[in-house]
Amino acid sequence: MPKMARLRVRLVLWTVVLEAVLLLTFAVILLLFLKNQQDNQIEDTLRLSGAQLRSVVEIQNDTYAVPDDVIAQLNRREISVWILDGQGELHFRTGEARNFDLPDDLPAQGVFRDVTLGGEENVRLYIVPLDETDIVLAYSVDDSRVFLQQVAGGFAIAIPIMLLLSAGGGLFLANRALAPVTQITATARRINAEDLSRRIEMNLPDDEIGELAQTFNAMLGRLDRAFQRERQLTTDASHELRTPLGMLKMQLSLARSRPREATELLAMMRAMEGDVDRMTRLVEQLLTLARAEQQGLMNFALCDIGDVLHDLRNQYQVMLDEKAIQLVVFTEGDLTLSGDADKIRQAIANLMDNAIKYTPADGKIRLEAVRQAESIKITITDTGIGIAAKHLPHLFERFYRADSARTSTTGGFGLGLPLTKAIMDAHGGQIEVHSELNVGTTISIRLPTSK
Amino acid sequence: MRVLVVEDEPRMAALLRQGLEEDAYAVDVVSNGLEVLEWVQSAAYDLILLDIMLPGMGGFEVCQTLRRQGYMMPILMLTARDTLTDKVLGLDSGADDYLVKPFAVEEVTARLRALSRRSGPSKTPELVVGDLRLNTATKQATRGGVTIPLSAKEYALLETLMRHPHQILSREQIIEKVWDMDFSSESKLIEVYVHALRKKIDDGHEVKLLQTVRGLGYRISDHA
Repeated sequence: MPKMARLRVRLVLWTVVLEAVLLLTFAVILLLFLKNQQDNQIEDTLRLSGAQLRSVVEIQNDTYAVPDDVIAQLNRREISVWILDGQGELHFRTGEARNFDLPDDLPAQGVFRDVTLGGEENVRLYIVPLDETDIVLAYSVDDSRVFLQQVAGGFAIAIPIMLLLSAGGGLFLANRALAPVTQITATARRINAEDLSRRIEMNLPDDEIGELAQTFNAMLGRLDRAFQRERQLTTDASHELRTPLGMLKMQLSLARSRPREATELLAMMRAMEGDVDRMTRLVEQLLTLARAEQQGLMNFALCDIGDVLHDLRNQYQVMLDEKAIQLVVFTEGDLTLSGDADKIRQAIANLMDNAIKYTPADGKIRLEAVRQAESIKITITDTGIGIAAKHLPHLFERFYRADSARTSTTGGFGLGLPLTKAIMDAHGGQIEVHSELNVGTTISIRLPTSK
Repeated sequence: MRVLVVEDEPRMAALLRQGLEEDAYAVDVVSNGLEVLEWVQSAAYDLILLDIMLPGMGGFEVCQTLRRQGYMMPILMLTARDTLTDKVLGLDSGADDYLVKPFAVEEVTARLRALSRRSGPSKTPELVVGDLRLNTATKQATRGGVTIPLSAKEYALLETLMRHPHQILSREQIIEKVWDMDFSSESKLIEVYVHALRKKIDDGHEVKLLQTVRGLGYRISDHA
């Protein structure tokens, strides 16, 4: 499963990268904030101590006296102090100032500057004026820098550990979340055209993956039914072709098995030709049915069902007269709709064929088309022998024959009604059959006008 | 040889009847599986041609029932399906062989000959009594090397007698093997055929092979 692994790794990598960016941003902001804090603290201490000194330093001639408690306080605060006169002469020093000389370039009054004393001690200098003199204060920044470095060092260790942990956690979660996908893939791999009955059988939660599995199962169901239909059709069609083929083979072998009279041979040939015709009809009907089931092959145009019914009356008139069956055609309302007029005629013709075939002499057939709100209702009613209730559910199955299951070498193949249904399906129509034995059959078609 | 053809497709049944009758078999046709069980009681069939797809009772079941009831004549199954399970089912239900549709008439008759050979004592298609030879495959009879032309019924009569050499067969036994159900056993036709056959095989020969045993029937034998 290299693809799955790739998705998993990608998920984890993205998580880690995103988290690294977040953590680093956080670390930088925190460090900047801390540094700012430290600087403020240092500068406040320097300002405070400066102000304090200004108020306590006593200048007598060239002597600068600082009270002892203030010196102690300054020492406690680790503040170094130099006091210089106007000529830059050093007059007082305390704390670390005793070990270091001041650098030559001093900052302006009230400005902070970091310098290195004696090449080892980093301090921040601050100068407050007192009359003609400068009080120079220094506070070590080394502690603050060390602190910030420690914090940064802590981040340097903590961030990679956190990233590692979250990578591990991410991988675990990704595995957990993708485990059903792995199962779905494994199931899908086992499913092939021969065995579409398999389904993804897992207790999946009602989430995206569960929905995927359900959708997948529903699709398999549709495929399964389609495949079964096709397989059944192939089986049935082969069987239907096999019967006349078997007969042809038998007749051919009989014809040449011994010397025969020309008249006898002619009779045999006529019979064989009948079988060939029958096979041709079957193949043609199968093709028509296959085409009708492909909606794309229909020629939709504006057509009038009333015209279709009157065409049919003309087409069947001779046959009806021969059997002395009375046909009534009744139309009412606007009967135009968008459809394939030829196909609709064929669909109704199949129903007419059956009605004529199963209606005894002196019977009646009523062909009716009535406009309804959003559809046209076509009804064909006969006074024929009717259809037994047990056949009704199967009427539209391909190769289903209500009369004498399979022995007929003459007559239909059981493809007429399925063809009618396929054509109606293509038009979004519906068919209903009502029948009573020895009373008659009514078949209603409802064709939507907006299609 | 008398054959029962069990086939529900009427035209196919008619073609089988024609093919078999032209090959000198006496043929009866039934179209329903259930009827088979009655018909086998009324005549001693030498062979049964059995379609699998039948109304009433399916071919496999008919076959099993016949075997259970002790009928041991060879059964040739006719099937439109050529799946392995069908063949296995057919053979396991007691059929001796099967033919997958479509088939030529010669295939049917050749299988029937093979089946009757298998059930009889002779393993060759030739029946011999004295210097009279009858080839059941080519339907040719020779006596002393000279070919005797025979009609289908004459052949069937001769074959029936030669399958039981030296045995006396009654009129009824002969009729049962040579004629189908439409033939009346009261008919004098059998004497006519015996007479014609005797003329063809015994005329000009010192040893008379086709013998009439008064009151009992007929036999073919080179013993006096």
